[in-house]
Amino acid sequence: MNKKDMGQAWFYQLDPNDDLSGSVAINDGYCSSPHDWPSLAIEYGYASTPAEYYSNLHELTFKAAQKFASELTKTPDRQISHAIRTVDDYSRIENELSTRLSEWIGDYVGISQDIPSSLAILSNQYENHNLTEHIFSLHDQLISISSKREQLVSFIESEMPNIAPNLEQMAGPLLAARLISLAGGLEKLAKKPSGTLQVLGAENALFAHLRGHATSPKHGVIYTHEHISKSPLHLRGNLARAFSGKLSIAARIDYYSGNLNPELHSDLLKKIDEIKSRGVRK
Amino acid sequence: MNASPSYKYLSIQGKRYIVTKGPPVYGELTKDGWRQWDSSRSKLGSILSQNIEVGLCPNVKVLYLGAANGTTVSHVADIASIVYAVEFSPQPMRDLLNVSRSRTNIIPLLKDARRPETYSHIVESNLDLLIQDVATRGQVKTAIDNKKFLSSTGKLFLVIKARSETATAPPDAVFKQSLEQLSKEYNILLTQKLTSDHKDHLAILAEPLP
Repeated sequence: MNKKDMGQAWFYQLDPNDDLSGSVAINDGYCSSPHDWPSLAIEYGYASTPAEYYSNLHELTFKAAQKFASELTKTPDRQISHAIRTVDDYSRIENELSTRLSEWIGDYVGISQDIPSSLAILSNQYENHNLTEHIFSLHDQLISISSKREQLVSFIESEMPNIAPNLEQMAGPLLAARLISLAGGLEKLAKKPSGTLQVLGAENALFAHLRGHATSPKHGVIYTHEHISKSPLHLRGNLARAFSGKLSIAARIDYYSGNLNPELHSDLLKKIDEIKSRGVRK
Repeated sequence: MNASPSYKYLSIQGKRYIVTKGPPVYGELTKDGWRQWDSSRSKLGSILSQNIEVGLCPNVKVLYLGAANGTTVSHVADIASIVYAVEFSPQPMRDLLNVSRSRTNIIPLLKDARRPETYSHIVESNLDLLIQDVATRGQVKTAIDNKKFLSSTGKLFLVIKARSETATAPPDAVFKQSLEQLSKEYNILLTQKLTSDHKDHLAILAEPLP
């Protein structure tokens, strides 16, 4: 045991009443090799018994872990990931409930038609009827989910330019948010190769390919962008590669600098035109 | 039947389970203060229920790498005197902290098991048991890098997840290579493939080579 290592002990020069510097000592500390810390702490005078030592250590590591866990997770890009996933959850639930509503209401009106017309018939004929009140409340629920989804979409639209301006500009706010969410954060997205970004959201197809059962997927969730979905089939692979290349540059600029870079966007459009005109020549 | 008084078999609702004594954590069955160690949710529980000894007994001090939600850690802490529980990811750490609330012998550490120098200023030397269940590449290297916490008579209980090393190579090839690599630093006492609840996992019991 050398003096230098004693200086690395988590309890070295630690004020037992100062939780913050305790958390920092736990979190940022460093030592090349472990030692018999409980005995050293008693020798050093930090604790008088092993029980006291472990009890202090438990409390401090507990507080430090809670503090740093929440600091790592309450970042803007994670909030956006939650928001876009909630949008997707709302959409799915909306779809299911509206299918259910149509079927249920159809039992009463006897014709397939839009929900508002059916509801009008229902409220004329069966108002305050104890069998139909559940249909009305299902409809209310649906309206409320739909408006909450729209509010979340506006939240994403207003936040994305601050979180990832280039990605937002290039992919649109929702796709940009989806990419961040799939990658597990802006940092991870920025550090992924563009070939990975290209197939984010197509993991099943990708792993089938890696196991040798299938061809490689051309695109994942970036397919939803019109650069790809509105282009001819035989160009989509090329376009997806070009698009994801620029998207990953955009993510890197967003993560490391955060300034909007207009040139990047004109570059992409030029490249897309190039691919499309080349395609026509063939 | 196990000689250790710290975990045992108990019949609950007509079925025999391995159990430990402590406050319940995850909705497991309980009887007279004993709680079922669900072997479909815990690889260590699965191994112990096959009557394999790993050196988990009262008063041992444990370093647990890959503590996750604290399901297994909670049982280990029911037995051991101190459990240093390392978990890298903040979300499972929330659950682990909740478990540590009722078990003050757990030392929760939000750290990367691949970088032992970042917790060597906290975790003591000469530990009795190193349990490792991490889902990352380089699992054997992690076990080797953390060998310095073990006493010369300590034991390593390591679970290799083939799928964490690579998604493409066959698991058996991954296991073979892992064992070769591990045997440079550890004397391998036992290997055991896990049951269908834990597919493509190999449990290894080993002791550190001097």
